[in-house]
Amino acid sequence: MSEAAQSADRTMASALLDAWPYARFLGVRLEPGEAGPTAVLPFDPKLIGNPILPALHGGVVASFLELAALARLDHEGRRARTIDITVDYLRPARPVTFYAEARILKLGRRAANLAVEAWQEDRNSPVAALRGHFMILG
Amino acid sequence: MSDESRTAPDTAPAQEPMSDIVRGDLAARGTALSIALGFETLGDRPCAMRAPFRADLIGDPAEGAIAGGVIFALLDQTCGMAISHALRDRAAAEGRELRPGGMATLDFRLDHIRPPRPVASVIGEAECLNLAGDVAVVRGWAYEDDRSDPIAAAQAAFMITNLPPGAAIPPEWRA
Repeated sequence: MSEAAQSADRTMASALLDAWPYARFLGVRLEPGEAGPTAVLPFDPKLIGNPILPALHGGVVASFLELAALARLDHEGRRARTIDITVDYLRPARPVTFYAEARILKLGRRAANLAVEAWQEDRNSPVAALRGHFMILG
Repeated sequence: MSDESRTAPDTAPAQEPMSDIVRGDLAARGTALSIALGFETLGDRPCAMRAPFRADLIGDPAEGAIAGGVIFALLDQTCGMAISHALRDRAAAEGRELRPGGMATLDFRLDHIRPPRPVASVIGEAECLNLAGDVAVVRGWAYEDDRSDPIAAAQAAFMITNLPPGAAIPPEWRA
């Protein structure tokens, strides 16, 4: 079986990632991870920001981590809207598959706080990290 | 992110978007992403861009507006433009050529002030607050048509990554 087919087999259902046009535009999906679902963003040339390095666009990195957080809340049955996010860029995001794992630090009635860590080839070398607040809509 | 301001070592073949990068003309060029997202430059304003509304860029379909991630990318891009202009101004003030190099985002915060209006295009605009040594502090804001009614506000720090003086321009920069 090809790597792509194996990967497709692992894809988890995500109502949010299926429903959000921008998530489909980027190609974000979910796979089972060690501590809950892992968001996966396969590389696509349109995601490039810096063609010299080359590196993924900072806006792609942020969008991916934000969608990982929203999909994590969706997985818990919570619909949410972003209040604020802060993204730390730790290493250049290379033109390879991107993974992100979101942790819910606090899930309140009105708002949630999440931390997302993203990596590429090496789980122990994070490429970017996000902290954010999300308004719970339902 | 990904924005460079660098001097052109020589004339590059006309090949978008690389040729714009080689010219260091950030305002006129686009990254692959900004082209894919359809960002448009605004002729009269050097550090602003428009994200035209597109159905495939909607975030939550229940809201029907451009996704927050698109606004993030728009402001990341315009913040890079503002830094490019600040670098160019600094080089001019010091009476020297713009040094070849790029910039890397250290951190980027985006506050969503209110949801964008459904089916509306969004303008992103940025200014460089401070450029001290190799660190630039920028802020940006997004709105549909009224600058005094913002959708989102950004605050970010970037590291300028100049090539050492006398360093050879990597051949791939000439693309």
